[in-house]
This record gives sequence, C-alpha cells and structure tokens, in this order.
Amino acid sequence: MNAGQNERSADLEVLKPAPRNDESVSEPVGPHALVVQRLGKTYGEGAGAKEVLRGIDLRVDPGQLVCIVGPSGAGKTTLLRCLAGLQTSSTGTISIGGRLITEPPAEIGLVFQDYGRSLLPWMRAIDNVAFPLQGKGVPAGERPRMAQVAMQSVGLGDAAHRYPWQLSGGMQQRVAIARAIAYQAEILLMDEPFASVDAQTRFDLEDLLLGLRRKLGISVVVVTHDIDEAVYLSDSVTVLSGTPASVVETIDVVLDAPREQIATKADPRFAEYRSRIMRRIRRPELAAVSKERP
Amino acid sequence: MSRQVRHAAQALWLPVVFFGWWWWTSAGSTSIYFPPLAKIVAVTWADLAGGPLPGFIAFSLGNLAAGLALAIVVGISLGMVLGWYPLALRLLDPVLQFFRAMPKVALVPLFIGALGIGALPKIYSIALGCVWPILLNTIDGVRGVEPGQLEMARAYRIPLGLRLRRVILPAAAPQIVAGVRVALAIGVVVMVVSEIYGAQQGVGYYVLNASRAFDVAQTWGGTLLIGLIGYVLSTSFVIAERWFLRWHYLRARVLGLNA
Amino acid sequence: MHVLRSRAGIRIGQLAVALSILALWELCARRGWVDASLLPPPSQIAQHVAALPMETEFWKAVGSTLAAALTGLVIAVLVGVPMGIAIGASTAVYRSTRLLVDMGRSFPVVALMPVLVLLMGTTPKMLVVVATLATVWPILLQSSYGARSVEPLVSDTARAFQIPARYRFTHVMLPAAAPYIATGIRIAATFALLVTIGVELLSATPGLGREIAQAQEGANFPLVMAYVFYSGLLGLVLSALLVRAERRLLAWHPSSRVAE
Repeated sequence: MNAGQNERSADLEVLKPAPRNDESVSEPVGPHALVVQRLGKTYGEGAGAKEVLRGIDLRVDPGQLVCIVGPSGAGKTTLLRCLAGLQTSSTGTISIGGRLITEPPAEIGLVFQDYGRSLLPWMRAIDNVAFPLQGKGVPAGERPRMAQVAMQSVGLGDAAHRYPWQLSGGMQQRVAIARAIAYQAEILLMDEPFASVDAQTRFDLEDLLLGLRRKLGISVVVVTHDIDEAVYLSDSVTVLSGTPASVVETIDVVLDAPREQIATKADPRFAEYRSRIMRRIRRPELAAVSKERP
Repeated sequence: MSRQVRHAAQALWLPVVFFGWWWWTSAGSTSIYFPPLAKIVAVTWADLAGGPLPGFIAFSLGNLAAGLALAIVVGISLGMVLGWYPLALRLLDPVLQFFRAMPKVALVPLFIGALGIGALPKIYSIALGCVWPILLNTIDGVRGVEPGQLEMARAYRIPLGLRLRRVILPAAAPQIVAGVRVALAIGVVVMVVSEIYGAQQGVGYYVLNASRAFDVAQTWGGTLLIGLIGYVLSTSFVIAERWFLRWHYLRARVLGLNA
Repeated sequence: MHVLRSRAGIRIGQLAVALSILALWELCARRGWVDASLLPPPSQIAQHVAALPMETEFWKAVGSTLAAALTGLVIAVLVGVPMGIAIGASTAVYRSTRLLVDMGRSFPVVALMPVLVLLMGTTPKMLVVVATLATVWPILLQSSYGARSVEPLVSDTARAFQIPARYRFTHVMLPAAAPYIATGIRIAATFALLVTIGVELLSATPGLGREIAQAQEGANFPLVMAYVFYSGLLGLVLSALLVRAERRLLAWHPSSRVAE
C-alpha cells in the first residue's frame, strides 16, 4: 500500500513537532540539534570491565537523517540507547538544543527493532499509538484524532482497530513508527527498524520514512547494518567500527533528492558511497584523518 | 449429524450413563448408607424449594466472594510491589515460602476460636487461604513482563501510575487470573472446612447437621450439592476467564499458527 | 546497598527480616494489640515447638497423618496414572470423560467427610480414602496432559513397528508423560497432606489435625500454632524430598537439564 495514498497533508500539520520555547535550552526555539560529544560507555569495573564505546562524536541537525552503520556487536545499539536516555554514558555528553540528556527526553521518539515486543498486545493498534499521548497528558478528546492521523500517515488508516498480533511484521513496524510520529517527537531514533521484514516491505518502509521526514521536518537517526539502506536514506553516514567502537568516519551523502529506489540506486555515486563505507568498516585504520565534523 | 451435535453427544453420553446407572441400581436400595439417588434428589430438592438451603447457599457463597475479593486486593497489591522490587522479594522469600507450605486449613480453628462462628472468621480464613496463589502468581506475572514493553514505557516517559495500570497489570493478567483460578478452588475447600468446624449456617453446616442427625439421604444430598456448586463455580470461572482475557487467547491462537 | 547483593548478604538480610517480623509480632502480642488467641506470642509458640518433638504423642500424630497421606498418594498414583494416560492417549476417551473429570476435580473432597464418617467412622481407612480421592485428580489430569504431549511422530513410529500396546504404554507413553506425572505427584503430595490434616481436624480422627483441634478446644493457642508450624514444616520437607527424587529420576529427560 503506497503510503502517499492515505495521507492528508493538511491534517499532518497537527503532528508536526511544535517548536518548543524552552528556557532551559541554549537554542531558544526548536527544533533542536542533537549533539554528541566524546561519548564513551564501559560496562563493569576493574579487571572485568568492557569498554564498548569510545570517543563518539555525532551531530544531527534539524531535519537531517543520519545513519549509523557498523558490524554487528559494534555497539550501535548501545549508542542508540544512550541517545534515547535509556542508558547512561560513562563519559562524554549528549545534548539536545544545548540541554544535557540524563533520562529519556521528551523530544525523542524511539522505534525499536523488535516491534513485536514493544507493541502492547492487549491494546488495539490505535490505542497503542495513542498511549504515549496519554502519558504526555494530551486530553482524551484529542488523542484518537492525533492517533488516527498518525496511522493514516503510515498508510494504516484502515487498520486502526486491529490488534498488533493481527497485523503483519511490516504493518506492526508501521504502527511503531506511527506511535513515534503521534508523540510529536522532534528526533526519531530507530534501531534496525527494517531488519525483521522482507525486502519488498523494507523498500516501502524506507520510502515511508523519507516521506514522513520531509513532511514533518523531523530529524532521524537510524542504526542499521544494511549499507545500501544507509546510503539510500541518509544525508550523512557515521561509520562505527573496532572494539571498542569509535567513529571511523563520517561521510556526507550527496545524492539527488527526493530519493527513489531505482533511480537513486542506479546512480554511480551510490555504488561509490557503498564501497567507501564497506572499506571503512572492514579496515578502520584506513579511515580519513579528520573524524571531527564542524 | 452436525459437528456440534456430535461433540455434544461425545461429551454427554458417559455422564448420562453414569448418573443413569447410579439412579437405576440404587432405585430399590434398602441399604442405610446408600439410599436411592431418587430419594437423595427428592430430599435436597425439598430443602431447596421450601427449606433453609437457599439461605445457606447465599451465606456460603457470600463469604466465599468476600474472602476471595479480599485475597485479590491484598494479593495483587502486595504482589505488584514485591514483583517490582526484586530486593524486597528476595528478603521476604523464606517467610513467603513458609506460609505457602503451611496448610491454611489448620488455621481455621484459630480464626473461629478467636472470632466466633459468624461470617467474619470464615471470610478471613478463606482470604488467608486464597491470597497465596494470587500473591505468588502476581509476583511471577509482574516479573515476567516483556522487558521490551517496559523499555518502551520508559522511552516514552510514561508516568508510573499509567505504567502500572496499562502495561504491567495487563501483562501480568494471564498469570494473575490463573492464580485466582487456583485460589477459587482453595477458597471452596476452606469455606466448607470452616462451616463444618463451627457454624450455624451454610452448606457445610447443612451437611454436618444432616450427618449428625443420621439423615443419610440429606447428607449425600448436601455433599452432592456442594460438589455441584464447586463445579458450577469452576466452569463459570473458566468461561469468564476466556472472555476477560480474550486478547490473550486469540493472540495465542494466531501466534500458534504463525510461529 | 552493595553488601546486600552478595549471597551471604542476602541470607543475612532474609534472617533480619524474619527476625524483625517475629520481634514485631512478639511486641504486639505482649502489649495486647493483637488478640492472643489468634496470634499468640512467638516466644510461647517457640516453647511448644521445642517441646513437642520430645513427646511420643507428637510423633504418633505425625506418623498417622503421614501414613494416611502417603498411602492415599500411592493409591492415587496407581489408579490415576494409567487412567490419565488412557484418557490422554485417545481423543475420543478424552472427550467422553471430560465432563466427569471436571466434576470430579472441582469437587471439594472435604465435603465428603460427613458421608465418609457415616460410612466408615473416624478411622485411618477413612483418611486414606479421602486422601486418595483428593489426590487422584491432579495426578490423573497431569498424566493425561503428559500422554497428549507425546509427539505424534513417536507414537506413529511405535505403531508402524507394530509394537504391542502394553509396551507402547510402558516404553513410549510413560516416559514421555513422566515429567508431567512428576509435577502432578508433587502437587498432589502437598494437597494430600492438606486434606488429611483438614479432615482429621474436622472429624477428630487421630493425626496432626486432631491434635490441632484438641489444643484449640483446650484453649492452648500457642500449642495450636506449634502444631500448625510443624504441619507446614512437614509439607516443606515432603515437597523438597519429592523435588530431589524427581530430579534424580528424571535426569535423563531434556526438560530437567536446565541450567541452574
């Protein structure tokens, strides 16, 4: 089902992250940039300590889509969990709009890899989407409307009253995305969101994500092991590799917009980016000298 | 024969044969201890229609309901706290294990001795017997909540009250309900014991009284009535459970097919 | 807080909690905040707990209760396992017996006490009958679950090789159902004890239950609690022994090879 068909752009305005006028923040009015500086994470203490992340620098500007790639077990998920506030870092800082993150921030919407375990099976799809709104204190009258718009924006307008376990894997992941959208998150964090669905569904979901990003002006950080996906989606790719994981290189992806599954992937630059990233992952010592981004 | 009718026939033929056989073989019985089933039914029916039985049944079931309700409230509340704070649970573990192993019926004399033969000591006895399976199952249910669901609630900053109500409690519900099912069976036993031990009303008292008066038919009748009550309660509970946890059963069926 | 994480730390913590509860109880009972006939002071209970094992009466009572419960359990196993397996092995039998089994298992056996006392008097035989009737149901049910769990492939293979029914029973169904049966026996054992004590209590048949009732009538509340304590202890010990036996006997079964 083409995500575009069920969209009503005018309604989607409802879900655009409202600019927050937050005095605790250095950049006064949102949307804000996500800045990670010298992030490190070590598990345990003393002799048995395991350093998983070291010296991670990352910046996601408003409206940007950044992919984090690296081999399995590299610590990508740990990084994402730190960004989401679910885990505290050992060193370094994470800030949104200049405000340090110590617990799950309100600006972030998280889409887990395992949608089956994060959607609540006793609630219908639309109630799942509306649930964070309830947690946020949105009045009961508005919640169904916002949830319905979010579900329509991911192409599931008709599936609102089904239970998650009545939906296919791809549809469940869309519900998870709709949930993050309804929450009016400024920044979407996604952990291998399309890993558990089949290839065709994956392409649909990738395009859905790009469309939502465009229409809502949100930033997105996607952790993925699929390099093709990373190049296709991103404005910038951060390559993580080594043990402990560190940023091997940050590559700006300059390709025609809007991206399109066939045309973009046929572009010779696509293949160049892909091989460049693969090389960085496999031989981190060949990384470009400058790791810092302005 | 349609499938439904066939299944019904399969389910019913043996019970019908069994009771029919009992009825028929005992019809002309002159044995003191095994009166005709027809007589048992007649005596019991008479007591139901015009006698003290309806009041007794109401008394017994009322106590059972009150005791069970008390056990549910205490068991679920305490269970949620202990399930949520593993340290508290581990510290209390020996105490809990001991009380679980203790035959709660043995405490009925104490309750009745201290509080008399009215309704209250029976309600407390029933509650004490029922609370353990509910408590232990609630703890298990809370501890078994999918970590992914809890993390999602954390990531979306869901406040604790809402988390308890709409994430933890529903997730633990299948386990809790299983605990209530066991508690119901235990409650019936404690109810009967408490009424036989010391009472002036109730179905247990009815049976005891009949046996003391050597009215064998009435004793049998009361006993069978209690059995019937136990069966009806048990079956009703299963039906109610199927409705209450319908999302759970439907999901299990769907996943069973897809898994 | 780190102290509490260690194994020894937890043990100490558990002991501390148990002792504080006892201390609080002692205080409440002494001060009269709690009815002493309901919750006598632990110190008085402890006196009896220490004294009871010295008396032959106590051991006689324990012996009676245990004998009746265990005899009932053994009979229940001998009757319940074959019946359960037969029920579980055939869908037609399962469907036919479903209603009767449901009725039987939801029947509070304690309610049979007055009838049985009329029929058999307050004898150990009556206790055995009660214990058997109470415990046969969990064993029967668990055995039927076990039989139904047999992989169709396994039973088909057995039948294809024309293995006679009685060998199929002992060498295919029984081993497959064994863990379920073991669980059933464990459940049934504590239940047997509970029911036996309950019936002794109500009918003054010799055993722990009767001692409890008599102590209660003599208004010796600490003694009542002491007997209750030993009843619980008996249940725990029995349960623990059964778990050990189960582990030893079922070591070959994959389900018992769980990392501990």
